[in-house]
Amino acid sequence: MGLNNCIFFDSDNQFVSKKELKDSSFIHIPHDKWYIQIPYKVLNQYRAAHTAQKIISPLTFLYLMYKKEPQAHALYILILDEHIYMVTFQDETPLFTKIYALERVEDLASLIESYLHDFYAQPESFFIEKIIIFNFKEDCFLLPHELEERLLLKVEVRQEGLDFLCDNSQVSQFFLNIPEKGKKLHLSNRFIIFVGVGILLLLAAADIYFRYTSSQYSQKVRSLLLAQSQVANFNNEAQSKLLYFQKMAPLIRTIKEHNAYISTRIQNLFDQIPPHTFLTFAQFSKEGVELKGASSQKDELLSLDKKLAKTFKHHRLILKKSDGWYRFHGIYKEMSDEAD
Amino acid sequence: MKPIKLEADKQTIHSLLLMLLLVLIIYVVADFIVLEDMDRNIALKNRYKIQKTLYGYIVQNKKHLQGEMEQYKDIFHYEATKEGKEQMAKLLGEFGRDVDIKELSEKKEEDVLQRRYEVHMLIDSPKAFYDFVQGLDKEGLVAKVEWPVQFVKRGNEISMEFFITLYTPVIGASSSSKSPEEVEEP
Repeated sequence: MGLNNCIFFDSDNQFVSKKELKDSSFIHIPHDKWYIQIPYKVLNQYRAAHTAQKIISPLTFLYLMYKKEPQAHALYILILDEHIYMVTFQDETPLFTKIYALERVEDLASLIESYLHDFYAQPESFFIEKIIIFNFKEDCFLLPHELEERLLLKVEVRQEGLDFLCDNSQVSQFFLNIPEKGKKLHLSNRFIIFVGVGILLLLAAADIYFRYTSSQYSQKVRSLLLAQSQVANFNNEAQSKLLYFQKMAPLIRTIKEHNAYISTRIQNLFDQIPPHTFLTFAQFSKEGVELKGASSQKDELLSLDKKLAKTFKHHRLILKKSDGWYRFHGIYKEMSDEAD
Repeated sequence: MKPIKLEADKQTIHSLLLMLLLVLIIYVVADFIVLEDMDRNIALKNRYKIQKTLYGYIVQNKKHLQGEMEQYKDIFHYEATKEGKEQMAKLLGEFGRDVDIKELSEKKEEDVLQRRYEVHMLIDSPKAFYDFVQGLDKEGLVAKVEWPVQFVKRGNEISMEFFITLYTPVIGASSSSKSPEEVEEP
């Protein structure tokens, strides 16, 4: 592991990609033509467990070593406390990358063999001529010639200081320095927008509800006012009519009876005129009636006079015969109580 | 170290500005639109309740008035009218010919205007007179036929003469144009 405030991100939870993923749960560390992707969650946990401010990916370290002194057909290996990182490069891009968990240093040769086996299975693989090893594991002592004998490849073990590398300003771009705080803020921005939009949507829904119910109430009030106006008009008319009747009803009823009485009285008298008698004059008054006319039959006239005499207290009939007709003039006054 | 801190501060400022902007938008939307609509809604709701109560009172009054009117069912068609003479002349014209109406006198007793007329007209038979008297009742004319009523035979026609008094209530006529219940316009 590195010293002081610069450490490796010693984890197998990091991936090489030739394209930048759109997944926001990953941190993307751009290199020239490729990216290292690390889940935020894993990186944050790692940061929380270590006090160092500068964290660099082992893959970045190997890439920087490769760029510093490019070896075309070489396998770059970095040994850390937890894992071994093996990368082959082609045109400044990792061609084949493997991260192994290191349990025993003795397993290193077999891990390299495993890597080579997998690497040669790749269609774009090439023949590895040299192995360059950077060892940062404190209790690990490598014997290059033993490895060379077993693998039949040239093995070179290099010593490199991590702090010295980290102090290089050009390296700072590769630090896993997207801070946890920034991520939180990023999330909180989204949360703020989410809450804000939520509140606005609620307000919009409330406003729609208020407008809808307002229009409903407005319509109800309008129809209620119309109904009120109709009923009130009826009431006004009824009230004025009621006032009228309260004042006039006795008079109206009296007049109604009086008119009916006049009409009936006149009608009754005319109905009594016999068939051979006709009237030329008839005057009805409150007290009596005065009749003038002629009849061809005297008996009829006398009979009429007799009938009318029953109705009136006073009566007088004057008869005059002329041209075969009995002209008469009858005056009847003061109606008897029975007739009344 | 420094770039990390600057980045964090920038993000914090962005967040605060965003929050401020959203609060401002929410305030504007709530205060100028939603609260205004809510106030209008509450006002309309209250107005509806008041109008409903008022309508209840008016309907109750209507029922009461209808109950009161029941006792005048037989004379309900009688109306206070200022055109009594014209109505009477029209009615006389229906039953007689050469109608002549002369106003004899006018007096007011207990706020009732009484106008007395002398009527001359020609009729074919006394039935026209009976029908005229019935017509007065049907038309709801407060008109009293007065004695004497005179019929004189003239050839095939009967010339008749009688007196009639029209009654018009002075207060009743003016009160019909009043509106005891004022209704608010929509």
